[in-house]
Amino acid sequence: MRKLLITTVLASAATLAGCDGDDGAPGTPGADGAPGQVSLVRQDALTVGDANCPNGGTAINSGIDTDSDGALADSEVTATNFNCRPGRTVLTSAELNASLSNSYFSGGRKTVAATRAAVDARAGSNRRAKNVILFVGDGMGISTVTAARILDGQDKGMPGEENQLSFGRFPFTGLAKTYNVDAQTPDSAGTMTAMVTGVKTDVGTIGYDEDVVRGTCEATQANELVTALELAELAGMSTGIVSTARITHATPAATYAKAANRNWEDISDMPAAAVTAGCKDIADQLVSFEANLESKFPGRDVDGIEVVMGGGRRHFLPRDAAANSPDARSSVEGDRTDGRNLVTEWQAAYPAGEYVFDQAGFDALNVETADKIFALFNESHMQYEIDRANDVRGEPSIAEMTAAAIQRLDNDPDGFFLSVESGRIDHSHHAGNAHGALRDTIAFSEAIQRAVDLVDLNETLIIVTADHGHVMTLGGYPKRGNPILGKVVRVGKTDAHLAADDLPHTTVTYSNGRGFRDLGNNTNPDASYGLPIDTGRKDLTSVNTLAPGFHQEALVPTGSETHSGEDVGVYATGPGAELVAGTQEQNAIFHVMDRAANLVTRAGG
Amino acid sequence: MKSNLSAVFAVLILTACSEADSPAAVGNAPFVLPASVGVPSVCPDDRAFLHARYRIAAGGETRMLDLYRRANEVLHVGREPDLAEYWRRLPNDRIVHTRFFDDYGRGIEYEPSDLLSVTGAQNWAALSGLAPVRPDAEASGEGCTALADRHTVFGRIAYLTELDLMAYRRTYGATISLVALDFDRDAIDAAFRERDDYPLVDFADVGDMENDDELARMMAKSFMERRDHGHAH
Ligand SMILES: [Zn+2]
Repeated sequence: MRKLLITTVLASAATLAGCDGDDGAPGTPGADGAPGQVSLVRQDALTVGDANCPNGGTAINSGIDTDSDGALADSEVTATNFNCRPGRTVLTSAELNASLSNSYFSGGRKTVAATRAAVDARAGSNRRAKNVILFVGDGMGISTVTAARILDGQDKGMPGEENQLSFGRFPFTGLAKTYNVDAQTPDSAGTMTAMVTGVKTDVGTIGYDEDVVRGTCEATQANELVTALELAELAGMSTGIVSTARITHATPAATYAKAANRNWEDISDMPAAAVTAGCKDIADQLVSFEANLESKFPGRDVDGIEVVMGGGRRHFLPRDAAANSPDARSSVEGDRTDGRNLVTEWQAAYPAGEYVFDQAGFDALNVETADKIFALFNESHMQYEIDRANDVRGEPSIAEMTAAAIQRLDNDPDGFFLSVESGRIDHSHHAGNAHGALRDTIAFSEAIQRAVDLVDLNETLIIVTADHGHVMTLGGYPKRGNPILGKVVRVGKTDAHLAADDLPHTTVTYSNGRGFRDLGNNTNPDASYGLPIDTGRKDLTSVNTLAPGFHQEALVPTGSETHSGEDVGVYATGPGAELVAGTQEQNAIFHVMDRAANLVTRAGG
Repeated sequence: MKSNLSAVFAVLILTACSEADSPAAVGNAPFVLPASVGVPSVCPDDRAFLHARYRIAAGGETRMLDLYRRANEVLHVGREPDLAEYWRRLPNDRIVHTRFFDDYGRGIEYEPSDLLSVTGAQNWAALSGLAPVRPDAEASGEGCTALADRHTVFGRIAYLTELDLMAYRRTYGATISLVALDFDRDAIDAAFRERDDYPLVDFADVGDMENDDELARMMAKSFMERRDHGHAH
């Protein structure tokens, strides 16, 4: 919009020139002259964003009103000056009040400041990690982390979404691409091998590259990979493995064993051809770890794994009731068909070491002074966290095991490498029971917090990640604070939302698996395996979906729910944590640990 | 679809619904266990070991079931073709359950659990004595042959009280009758030992054994047969 301002200026009227001679007689009056032309000035206000005055101001236009219409048209403008407003450099707090007083705004600011400080602290720092802890939540995909975070928050009386799990507060996070060399959707064997050796490999194989054919012993020696735990041993560091699964299960096994098939947990699980060809079962490789590593690296002297805690006694004991533990669940606990008792073999090899199998034995350990610790708390996997209280002789939590391991390992001036797996998140998902998976995830988060509290983060790199995800998802527009395991109640509503089929639906569902089960207060997620697959939509109107025994609906019927193929989060803190960034191949995790702790160089002796 | 005997059997054994006495039953003739069953008049000292053979009849079909009891273990053979079911009671009263697939020579085991409340039966007696409902009627007879007999709205239950063992049950149009009983420990041990060498996997591990096609078929088999369980609680 143009506003015309007219300033009148005295016209330059015609004037008669004076003469020096006598005045002559007056002449006849001349004709009227043409009207005088007027010079005009027009000021235009300029708005913010103007090309000449970015912050707004005034354009001063001047020129002759040649058509004498009393206004200065654009065509009459002969000169323009700009009177620009200076730019604003400060916003008043009044203007920002709605933002500044908002806790999300201030919280976001604090987060960025903390990240800035973390980045600055790491920038140009050459500080290496003396210790490395690798936490792996088996099957703990992104959706599991989100849902567990909300459940944990709701346990604490919060709406839940604003909560953070312990590792959610770590300053550096990236994504890992989890596929195996031969599989779009991976398994724990291939993924953990990638994380601890730096080499992606095939699904189902442990400690070998992709040239080994799953289940065959041929060509294994030439394709054997070296793990971070082995490097740590060679570097003279202390080492430890903790898992809530069997300690011979794929994830923990990948740190210390090589197996062409993840199922070769003891000799009875192996084909005769593989045994004849010289391949060893996984349990054997655990108790023979020191000797095996020394034979692989002649001339090197290592001292063996200091801390081993988990389940899986059956793979270490002979098939003989005489070798049963006091809390055996089977009439004959051991599975080994070679007659060997690997527990007693371990005790003979490490006479100063302590073997424990229950809560009382664990409680009696003096972890500060213990030499080596070998703990096998269950015949098979350790209990699900929600079922732990039901164990015959009690089992420690993953947090208790993690703390004990660190207290034992951190006595070593050369540092330590510790791998901790929460192994049963995966199993509860496979059974289609989100409750069990989320409870184990929360217990895992507590274990990680214990580690953070116990170590010096100036010298300890902690990485938390998953090997792969599961097909659990959450959504459906529930309102804020709606129970994460509940039925969807939409924003502003109090009753469960009805889907297009007029039935309520839960926030959490699975895209495949065994499907719906209402097992009430049953705390064993695997109970559903005894019942028929029941996929598709169900009437949940009178079902308590918050109960531990509720199994979510699933779409595609499968014998058990499956892994998923999307990326997983990688969360890091401590020296080298800044190397976890962007979307990386999963095997990069090894290289982060190596770069941070200099494992390969230190192992060089 | 397979025989519906499996379903009938699941109902017979694993339903713990209490069956109300039938008022019409009063005055019926008492149940008499045939002498051919071989129940001794004096019970052996160790009743924790026994082998009971039953005949199940329903819809014109019959099937034999062998029940082996050994202290805190029990084995059912013949409930479903090529399947054997094993349970072991732990000191904390949780129960370990293993399903043996005889045609594959393999088994799948559950974690110790209060699984029985899931499958409908509520107590160890249902597994070790096939007696989900213990009649509270007065037992008649002497010693080991003492028998409690009761009519219910669905049928009839007769129960050997000294042996904690069902002798006869008629319900839902099916009957299960004890036809033989022995206490031969060697034979009982042998029955348990027969499947000792089956490789076992945990149900928890099935999800990570996606390349095991045989296991997938075992899973499908057991679940198909369970599907016709028509009486859920
Ligand atoms: Zn899995």
